[in-house]
Amino acid sequence: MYIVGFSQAYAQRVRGGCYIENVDLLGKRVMNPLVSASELGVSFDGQTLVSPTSFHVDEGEALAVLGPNGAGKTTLLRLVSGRLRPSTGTITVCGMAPNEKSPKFRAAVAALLGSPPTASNLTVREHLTLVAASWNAGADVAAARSEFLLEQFGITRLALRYPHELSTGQSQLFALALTLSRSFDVLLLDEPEQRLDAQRVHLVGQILRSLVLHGKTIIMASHNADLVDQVCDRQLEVREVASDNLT
Amino acid sequence: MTTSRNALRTLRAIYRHRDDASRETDASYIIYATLLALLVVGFPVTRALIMLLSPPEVLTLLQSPSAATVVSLVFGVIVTLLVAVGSVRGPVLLPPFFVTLLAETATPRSRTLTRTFATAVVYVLGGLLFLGIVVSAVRVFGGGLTLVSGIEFVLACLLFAVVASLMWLVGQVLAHRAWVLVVSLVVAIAASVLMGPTLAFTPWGWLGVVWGGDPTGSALAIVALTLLAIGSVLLLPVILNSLSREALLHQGQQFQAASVAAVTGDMATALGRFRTLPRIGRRWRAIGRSSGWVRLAWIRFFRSDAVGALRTPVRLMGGVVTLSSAFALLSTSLAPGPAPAWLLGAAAAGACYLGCGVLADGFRLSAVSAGAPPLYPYSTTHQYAVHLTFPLMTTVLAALVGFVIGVAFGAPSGALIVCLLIAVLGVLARAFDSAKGPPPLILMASPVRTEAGDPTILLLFVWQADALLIVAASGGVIASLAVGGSLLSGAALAAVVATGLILLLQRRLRAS
Repeated sequence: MYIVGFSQAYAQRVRGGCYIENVDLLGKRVMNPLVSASELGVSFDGQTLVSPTSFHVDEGEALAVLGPNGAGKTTLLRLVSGRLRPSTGTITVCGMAPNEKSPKFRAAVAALLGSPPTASNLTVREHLTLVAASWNAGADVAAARSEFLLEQFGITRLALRYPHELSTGQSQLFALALTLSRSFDVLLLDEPEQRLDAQRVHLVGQILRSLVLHGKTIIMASHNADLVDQVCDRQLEVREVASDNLT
Repeated sequence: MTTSRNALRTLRAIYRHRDDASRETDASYIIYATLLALLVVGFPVTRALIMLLSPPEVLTLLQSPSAATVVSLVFGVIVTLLVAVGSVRGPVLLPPFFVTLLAETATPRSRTLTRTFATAVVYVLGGLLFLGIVVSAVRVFGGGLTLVSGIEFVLACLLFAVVASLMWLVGQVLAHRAWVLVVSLVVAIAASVLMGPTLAFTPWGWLGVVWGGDPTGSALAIVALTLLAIGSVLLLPVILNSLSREALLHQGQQFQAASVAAVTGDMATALGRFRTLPRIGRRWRAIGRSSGWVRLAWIRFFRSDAVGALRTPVRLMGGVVTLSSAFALLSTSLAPGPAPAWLLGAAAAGACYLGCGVLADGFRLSAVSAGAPPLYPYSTTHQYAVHLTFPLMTTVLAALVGFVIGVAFGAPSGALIVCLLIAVLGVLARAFDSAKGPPPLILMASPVRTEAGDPTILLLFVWQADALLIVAASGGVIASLAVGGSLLSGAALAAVVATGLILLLQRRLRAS
């Protein structure tokens, strides 16, 4: 069983739409974690994909999921995103069991697990604007949001390109920008540093840290120690062989 | 030159000595099998086809005054299609490794690629020769043409095939720019057909002249076609040398990846390899500026789907023309004619389904989104719904155009209802098809040995083409019911099929 970090226990300030606040027996306000997993595990046909794992992440916190290839980092993120059901244990995200069919859950969790689906006949800018507009942003707000993201990721010069006209590194920056163009409370990222040079990894780190400082919660699988140091508050070590590990 | 020739010879010798190379006995067997197939299958099929086309009403059609114009039009369409096909699958198609081996050496491509080209064009030459033989035989046996005129038409077909083969190669050389030539040919063919006399000065028009059987005109047309065919052969090395490595490699890689996908039964991926990608229109506004309209998902996605489709204009035009033609055929199938309504209705509905393919990109995106973390605040079913507007409206518009054309050819007013029903079914079938996953393992992994071969291949075909078959069968039955005066029964059937398609789509989405 993995137990990572301890709850901050006391409410600070309600920022997100799905922040959960309770009052304890002494009348103090206590904060329930935004993401809370207990003995969460996945087994399939006698094969353990993820050993029972417990962790929790509060609002405005970033958790790094670390481990060697095949340890189950992506599977763990898929569990949190509701794309996969756990074989053991429980998990709640914003007080809900992960269920990608629930509109409330979809509104709370954004994820980049592999390449996002894109339309071959829309430009980079149009993708960002369309996704932003879908989350009830007006046309002007959606357009401003897409311009902001293009600038933030340094891909403004790619705004008029179609997805098939991007290099692999550019595609990764576009995928990250696309994921951030929608609203969310919890952000799940699987190796966001993929195919990026050191400078771009640092840039992505800055953007993600800024999100954390603005109250967003991030759970991120990564192999890049610099990025983890730059973005994350705590680390969860996932190993192929089940063993307790607390960092 | 001698050195390069020697290098090519050495290369071929080495390749011939590979482990899985065909032996001389294999070649003899292939020749034996081909001759046997021609004798046992080819001859009876050709004979049956000639007999099928021999009824007096068909013969009357072939002998009608407008037949020569139609023949010219058909051959014009054939050459245009070959140019378009060449941009996707040219006659010089090599696996990527052979592109490196043959096209990246110092040996001129006119030397290294001629054999591949010659092998590919056998199909064009054979196909047009077969066409010429069948229609000439029908006319000669029906007494509508002398034997000499019949032979002249076959010869004209063969000469035209040589020219058409070169145009196929030109399409490959032009690659994504081939649409300019395709549009030019469409305009030239339409203008020559509409202007009448000028048709006799075009290569496709020469086929019409030979069809007419006028001795002087035929002789002149055959001389002109011969000169054009000779010119094409002389130009062949120049065109082969202008084939770029990129064009060869792109097509080679595309087909290699597609064949791998097709072998595993993943036809969606295989076909997706050939879908045209946009290069123009990146500044066109796919997202509106007005906040009020943008907030309405139906409007927002209609606009982005429509502008997205316009960015591949030739593909869109191809789809819309196919749809309009299909609905025109569907409308005329309800008018009295030689062919049964169910047959034309099924063919037209099938063509409608194929035409809808270019409008279904939104459905495909929704299907891919079903397996990924959500970017949009909608469920997968809701995404399908917001992507429905553009294909549905475009197909309904094409149905109206097709109906108007059909009315000009005697279609009854009830044809409009039939066209609209098939339009809805075609779009829903495309949505249903987009959510198709990999084939069931039972079809892929369990060959059933019978004396007639493995029947699971038929089941696999039915599984792959289920949406097409559903629409075609519905079209046939609805057209048949409409001709019998039971339009209401046709509408009821369409409602049942539409409901079934929606339920099956939801089932597929749940399983994905």
